[in-house]
Amino acid sequence: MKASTSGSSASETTTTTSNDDAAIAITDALGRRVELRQPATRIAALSPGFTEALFAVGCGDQVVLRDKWSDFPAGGQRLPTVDGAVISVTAVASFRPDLVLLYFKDDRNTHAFAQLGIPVAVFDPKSYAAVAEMIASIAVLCGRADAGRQLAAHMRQVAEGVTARVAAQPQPAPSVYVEVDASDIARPWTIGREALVTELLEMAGGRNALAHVRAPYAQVSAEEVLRADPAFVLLLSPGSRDRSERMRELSQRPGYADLRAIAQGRLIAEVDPDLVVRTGPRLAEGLQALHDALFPTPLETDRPGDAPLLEGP
Amino acid sequence: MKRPARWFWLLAGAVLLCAYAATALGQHAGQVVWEWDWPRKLFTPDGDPALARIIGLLRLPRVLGAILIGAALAPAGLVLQSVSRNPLADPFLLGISGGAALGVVVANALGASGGGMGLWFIPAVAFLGAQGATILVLSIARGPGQRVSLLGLVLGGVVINAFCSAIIVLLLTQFEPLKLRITTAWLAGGLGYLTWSQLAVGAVGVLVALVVLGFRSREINAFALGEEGARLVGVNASRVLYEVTWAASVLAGLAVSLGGLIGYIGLIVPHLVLMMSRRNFLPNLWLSALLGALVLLVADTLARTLLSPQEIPVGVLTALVGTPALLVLLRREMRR
Amino acid sequence: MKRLEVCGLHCGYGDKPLLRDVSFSLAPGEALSIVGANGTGKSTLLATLSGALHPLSGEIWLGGERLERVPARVRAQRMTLLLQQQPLDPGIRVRELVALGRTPWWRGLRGMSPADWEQVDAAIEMCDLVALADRPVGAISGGERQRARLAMVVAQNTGLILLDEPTNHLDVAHRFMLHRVVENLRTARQTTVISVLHALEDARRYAPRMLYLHGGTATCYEQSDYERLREHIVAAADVPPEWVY
Repeated sequence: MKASTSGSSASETTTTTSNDDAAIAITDALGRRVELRQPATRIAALSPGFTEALFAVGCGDQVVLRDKWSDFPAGGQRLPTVDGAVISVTAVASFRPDLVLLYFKDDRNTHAFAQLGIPVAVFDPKSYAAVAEMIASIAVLCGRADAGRQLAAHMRQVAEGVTARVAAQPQPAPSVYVEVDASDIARPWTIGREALVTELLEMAGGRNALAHVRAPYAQVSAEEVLRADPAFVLLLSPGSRDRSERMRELSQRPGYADLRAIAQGRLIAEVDPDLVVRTGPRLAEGLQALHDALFPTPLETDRPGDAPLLEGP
Repeated sequence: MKRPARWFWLLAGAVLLCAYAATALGQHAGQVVWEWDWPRKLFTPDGDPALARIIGLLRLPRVLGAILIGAALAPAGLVLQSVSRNPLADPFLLGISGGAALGVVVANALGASGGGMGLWFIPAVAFLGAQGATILVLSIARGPGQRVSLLGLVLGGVVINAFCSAIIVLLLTQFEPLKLRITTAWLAGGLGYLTWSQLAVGAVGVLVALVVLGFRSREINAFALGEEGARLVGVNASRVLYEVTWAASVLAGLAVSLGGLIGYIGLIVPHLVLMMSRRNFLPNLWLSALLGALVLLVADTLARTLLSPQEIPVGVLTALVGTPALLVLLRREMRR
Repeated sequence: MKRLEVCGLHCGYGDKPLLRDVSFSLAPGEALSIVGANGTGKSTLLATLSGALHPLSGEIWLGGERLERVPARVRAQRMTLLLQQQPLDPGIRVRELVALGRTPWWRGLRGMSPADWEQVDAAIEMCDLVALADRPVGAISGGERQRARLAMVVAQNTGLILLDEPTNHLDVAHRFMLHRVVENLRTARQTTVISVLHALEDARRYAPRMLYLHGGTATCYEQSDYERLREHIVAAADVPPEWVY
């Protein structure tokens, strides 16, 4: 197999299936052209999103190495692991991969892998659409282009369905405070408008209560949260997924009992953070879960303390 | 120009004024708002109970916390600089920062949440880590004669800090990226949530340590003659070093447990005090407490408002401002 | 009036004594010079007398008190040592430095009393430091710094003063001043003075009595015995007689 990377200036991922001297070629997130003679059968998936995508399109058997935070699906648990944040080229290369999937670019790593003749593809999707395209590209690289296209199409369909339902709704989008970590309850960590979760929220019919924060992850003062008085609180922090337990925890924080979201029981704790944070195929599930949590259908309104969303944001 | 009493009242007044102003600064939707009538809003909550709670439970404790931590770090630095005659001595030199940080990182690594301790967990772990480091440093510092010496203290501090740093880095490599980021932010120093009871406990601890140092001010002054010189004017140098180390450790340990690793206050503020006053430990002790409180209060207020709504770790600010300040001070020293 | 009695002192580090059986006695106001070749234990003896080192055996009595048993503060009221070199905080002013000599006399937190300041000013005047009193010690010359440290010793007003090679690094004028101050203290305050000196001429000038350290022992010589001492030194150092004067 031959790896060639030529710098091209395209910033969107495009998929082509045939070329003169390379059987498979795609352009990755950095505009680099990744060409393989044949589908990769020894893939190093160095991010949870990649692992999930590969298994979802049926290439689970072609993965030989995963990063240690990839814990889904269960079938991947038997795979050897390596650190995905601080990448040891030697460790990865010792598994003799024929394709390495990275989620961030590091010139040294890329150069090292190139020297070793190991093809590298870098994907860093920042939007829902980009994730779908990434899955399609990865599928091409592992020889399941059709499955990849189908999965990407499915993701788009889910998104279209959700956005259509949202458009059909008369109410304005409710504000949502997303909490990522509250070890310091006076200065919790949240997500800003550059985060993927913000886009998901907007697609699901809500909006980020702290959209004036730009960075994907940021620490804010609790004062900001209290002043913003969001309509919903979405908990993506580690811990119990039991709503009443988290409700108790939050109402004990100083000032949080004043939040209308707490008073009216609009706390979303049951959404698995991995569904909305990982850039993989499960984003579709996550999007659906968000929408269902924000706009519970009549069948689901027997949760105690819920009020149907009739008021404004 | 060199009358400590005048500076004392000036600084005390400045601290009160800044505390009032800092409590008046609120944050809303990324904008900074001034609420000058906050006492009224706080004590007559009928109008806006939510705001009263914000002021009373979040803002005011944070302002007071900054004052307390600054008033702990600066005197700790002053006393260590005085007994070691080393203008670069810093309270964290004694291994305190390493021990406290290690305690917190280990607790985070174990995923421990302290069970019933709740909000007291992280401060307790940090404080215990700091004291543990001090115990180790003192045992290293006890030379062959079982007497504590300055050189031993410095060596012990360097060793313990290096050791703790190594373990911390090892543990951090095991953290997932987001948790790593959050832990790094804590290590960079910042005033988080402080309950009134934590403030009270901290205040008592700081006050006791300061009073103990005050009673030892005569002996500390004698250290201007060196360890042997101090002994020749009747000071039990070894015992005084031991007591001073504990007092500085309690002060710095309390500061780290409440506010994370905030550097430069213990290093720079003593220098500023010496520029304002003569070398006499007792008045300088209180001056440095006040000046440290003022500096940290200003720094923390900037940390939460400069890039609002984002919070900058206050240790970053003190480092950014403190480094050029230190250069200026060192230049003056070298020119003399 | 406090008489100094040293009885059977064994000095050294660890187990092995460097000096054995040192005994001498001094009345108030008397002076003693300790002389000997390098390495014979002059500094060790001084360190033992000053309390930095524990004696391996033997006793030191000052005015009926056993000096080794006395707490540090009381000991500093009875005796002090002018070190050869001393690290100093360079920012401290001369007057403040001299005032530190009063430290053993403070009670509680009271600090300096007017009586203390009188002692300080008297010491400053005695050592010719009036013009430099307000200068930081980092900004004066080495000789002036030594004067300041001497003034601190004077201000400490102890009955016994030890001097460790005080004339090193001093020019003739400063040596004369030092001699003058020491004589002043001996006559006016009846201070007992013990000096370690390595130049014999200084020893003769400073003190009519000399303690000669040699081969682990200490022998006392009076001024009248000077010729005998000189013979011994010539023999021990193996130098021409003209070199020892």
